[in-house]
Amino acid sequence: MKQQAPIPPIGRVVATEQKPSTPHQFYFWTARSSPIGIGAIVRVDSDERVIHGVVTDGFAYSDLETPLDAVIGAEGDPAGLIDPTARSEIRLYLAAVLRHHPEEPLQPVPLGAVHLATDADVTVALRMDSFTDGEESTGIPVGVYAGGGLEAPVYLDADFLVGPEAAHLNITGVSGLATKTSAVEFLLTSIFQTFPTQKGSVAALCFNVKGPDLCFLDQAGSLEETDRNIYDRLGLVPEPFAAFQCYAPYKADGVNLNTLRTHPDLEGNTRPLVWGLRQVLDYAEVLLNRDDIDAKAGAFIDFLAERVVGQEFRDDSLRAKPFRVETFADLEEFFRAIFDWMEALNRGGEIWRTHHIATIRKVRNRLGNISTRSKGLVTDDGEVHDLPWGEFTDRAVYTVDVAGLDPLAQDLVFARVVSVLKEQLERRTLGVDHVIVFVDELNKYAPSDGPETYVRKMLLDLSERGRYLGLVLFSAQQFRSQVHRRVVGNAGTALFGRMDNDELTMGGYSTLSAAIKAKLATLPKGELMIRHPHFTQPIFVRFPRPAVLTGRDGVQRFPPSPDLPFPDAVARVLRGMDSTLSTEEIRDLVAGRRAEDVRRSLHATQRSRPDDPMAYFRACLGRAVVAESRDMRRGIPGVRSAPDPYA
Amino acid sequence: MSSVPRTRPHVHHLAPLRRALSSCGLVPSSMPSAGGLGRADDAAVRPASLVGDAVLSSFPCGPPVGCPEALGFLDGIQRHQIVAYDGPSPLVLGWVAAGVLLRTGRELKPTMAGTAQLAIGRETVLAKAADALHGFEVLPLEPPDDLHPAHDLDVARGMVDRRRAQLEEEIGQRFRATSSAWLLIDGSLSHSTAWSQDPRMLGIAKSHAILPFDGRALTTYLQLPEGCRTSLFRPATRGGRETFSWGLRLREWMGKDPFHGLVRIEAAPTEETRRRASEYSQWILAERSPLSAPDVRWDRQLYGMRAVERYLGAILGE
Ligand SMILES: Nc1ncnc2c1ncn2[C@@H]1O[C@H](COP(=O)(O)OP(=O)(O)OP(=O)(O)O)[C@@H](O)[C@H]1O
Ligand SMILES: [Mg+2]
Repeated sequence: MKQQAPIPPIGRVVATEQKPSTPHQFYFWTARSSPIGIGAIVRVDSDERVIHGVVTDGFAYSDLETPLDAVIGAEGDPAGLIDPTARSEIRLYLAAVLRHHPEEPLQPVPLGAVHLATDADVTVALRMDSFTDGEESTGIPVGVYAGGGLEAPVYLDADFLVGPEAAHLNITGVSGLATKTSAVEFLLTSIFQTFPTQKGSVAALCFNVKGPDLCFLDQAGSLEETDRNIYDRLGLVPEPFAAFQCYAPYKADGVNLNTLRTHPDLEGNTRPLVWGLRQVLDYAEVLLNRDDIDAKAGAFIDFLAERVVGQEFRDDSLRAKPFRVETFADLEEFFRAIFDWMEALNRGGEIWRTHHIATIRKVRNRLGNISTRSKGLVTDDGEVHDLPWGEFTDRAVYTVDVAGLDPLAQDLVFARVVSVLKEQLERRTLGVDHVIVFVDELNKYAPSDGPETYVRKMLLDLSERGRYLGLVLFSAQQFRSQVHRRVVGNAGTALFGRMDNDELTMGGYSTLSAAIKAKLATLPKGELMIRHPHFTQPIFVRFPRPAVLTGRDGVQRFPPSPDLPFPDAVARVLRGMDSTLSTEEIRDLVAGRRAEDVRRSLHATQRSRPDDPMAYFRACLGRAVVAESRDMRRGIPGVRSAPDPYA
Repeated sequence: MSSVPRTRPHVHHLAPLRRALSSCGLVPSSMPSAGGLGRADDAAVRPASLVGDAVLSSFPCGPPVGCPEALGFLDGIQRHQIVAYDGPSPLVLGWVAAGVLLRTGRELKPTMAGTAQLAIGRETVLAKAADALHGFEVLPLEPPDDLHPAHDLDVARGMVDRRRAQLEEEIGQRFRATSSAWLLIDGSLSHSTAWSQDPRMLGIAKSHAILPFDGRALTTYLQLPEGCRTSLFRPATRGGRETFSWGLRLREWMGKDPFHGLVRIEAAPTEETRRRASEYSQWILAERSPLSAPDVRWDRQLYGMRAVERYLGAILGE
């Protein structure tokens, strides 16, 4: 495999007793003017073997034995005469071995000539030949290796990025400079365009946790010439995501969406995310902190989920008419009936169907609390807008915008979305074979310390078992050391952007040379260090700006619509479905109605997407007027138990 | 115009040679290599005659000024070692190298070098060892006065020394054939006719084994202040060519010893030399820096000369 380079060597291996070559590292010297730098990939040629390595450290020194000699030479005057002869100075580099050829017997690196890597060398050095050659290439372009005037494509192995061999990706680096979010956006583009057909379909689900970050993935951003060149070099087309949907809960008013993607031009694929009692009850565990939900409360929640909610429940002692609990409002009515029954029992009533009144009160408070803290996500009435479960499509991106939600509600969204993804992937009913879940600010959701939370357990489980199901976690954070060890540890691929110096002193980075750390601490935007199972050493690459609109530019080009007064907000939603409708007409129709009724009718119309939205809405509203009153807070007795953190 | 040799001798890889000598019937020896012991001058005073001045005087040369043109440094090194005995008679191997580093800008670049490997011994020894001595210049020892083997070594050392001087001269001539750059020579110019007449060569003698004066003049010579030179004089040479010479103090010697920082410069015996002696001295004063330490003779060794020595050492595989 020895490559005959037409270009002369740029260095030569040196090995001395003090600085010997080993099978895993070697030193070489170069001329002072060589283009070698930290992270450069080089090839050593000798008669019997070829070795590829990556430069991890560099040294320069002169023949000066002690600084004193320089002082004496200059007669103590730094501003004195310039020496007529420049002191001889050497450039010595340390390189870590990437690959030997032949691989056996594994021997120290011989005293060969050192060449700058070519495209072909980069392929061999990073073992990319093993997965990019042939028909069934599983290479996913991640950027270009830029060294010595070269721009060689670097690929990740889909089998190790999306499973099943290994999976998950984590990216670390300081805010604003590390280009974490951008890198993930670019990588999704790359995956969607190059994911091998034989591996099936793939979709992405991004949790937007910060401002407008991931809300404009369907809009083209501005690229520079250099970015386009990299796309070209990688064989990718710089275009935004064609199949994109953004899901966001409502604000507390139930009509204005709680997202920054509310510009009228973007309404077509901006959808509400609204859950009801059923959706919440299954994940009640998320919200009731672990110590708090004792066995008794658990049993009562199970009872509600299995016997009461979503079905007819008869208890003649409570009331003659059967209960039909579909919503939080219905549930409240049901609790009310229990409390009334107990009160009627003349102070003696402490137990209902083996459940103690204190337990019942506790569960009621917690659940009531959920609907309060998650207002806008969780609806009191029955209208549910959910992700397109079972109908996920290949190469589609789903953003779930939770940036404006209370942390408790965020947890609920994470827990439920990931659990349903897992369930459906397990049963192969989701619609796609693989889903990449992107979680930014991972340190918030899977911190290294702090109490065990449901969300952290879930992320851990995802990072440990997800790859067998096709559920892949892409995550980002500023400080890797602040994230649960096993969550980042399970990521087969790790990216590092510009790093904070304090972070670099943490134990996790101790294998990196001082020079590599210095490089990481000053890494320019658009450059990353990569660890990937096929690469035996970390490698530096450059990637292009993502082809999508950044959040910041997005809100400038598509300024969010201001929150409207309730009737106008309703009108806006309906006009979005049928632009011929007049705002006046809708205002008149809504005037004097109760907000819940209007909301429910509106949500029902949105969900059904009827041909004639106005007629449908009017019909719903008509029914709503006669619906019985459901005032949730009617005369509920106070809770006597200990102070309640959720109250 | 580089003519640096590609195949290189190696003073430290002698085991195969020793084996070969052993099969020739000699007894291998591994006495440690006698490093560059230098040239054995016997200390003496050989009075010189002054050029122009009636009494030896000292003059300040002016501030150091780097030579404004390209400047070459020529030096040579030598090594020798006894590798075997035939009875009491040693077989001595010698290695010599000479070369030029040329400074353009502030960079020193090897431009020319040559080496030779010598095998020296009595005829009988050389005849016996002949098969093992491919690639060596074989030099029979001149008929010895006595049979003491130590004497053989002294004579051999002298031969190696002369071969080095000869090689230096060859290299100097080759360099001059292709370049008219100024050339600084380590040592005296007087043993070469060409050198002693070259208008763009300066010899820099660091050794003061032969002193050119005695009495008052010697005191002036040895108490020369820093940055000053002496009057010009013609050194007395035994059969050597005439040159003009002067003492130059590179560094403050007070509190050290009278030879500290003292060099003797030689140049062609011309009117131009008389005129420009101070200017040449300024060039050489500029060469005090960078310091040639850790060379033990750092007070008078020029950095460029040391660089040539190191370069030649590397060629000999040191
Ligand atoms: N490939 C690139 N080359 C040059 N600049 C880039 C590149 N990718 C992104 N940028 C720029 O870097 C900036 C920061 O990017 P990004 O928002 O992705 O960083 P981040 O690490 O996610 O920051 P934060 O921690 O604040 O979320 C953006 O202004 C973007 O334009
Ligand atoms: Mg970000």
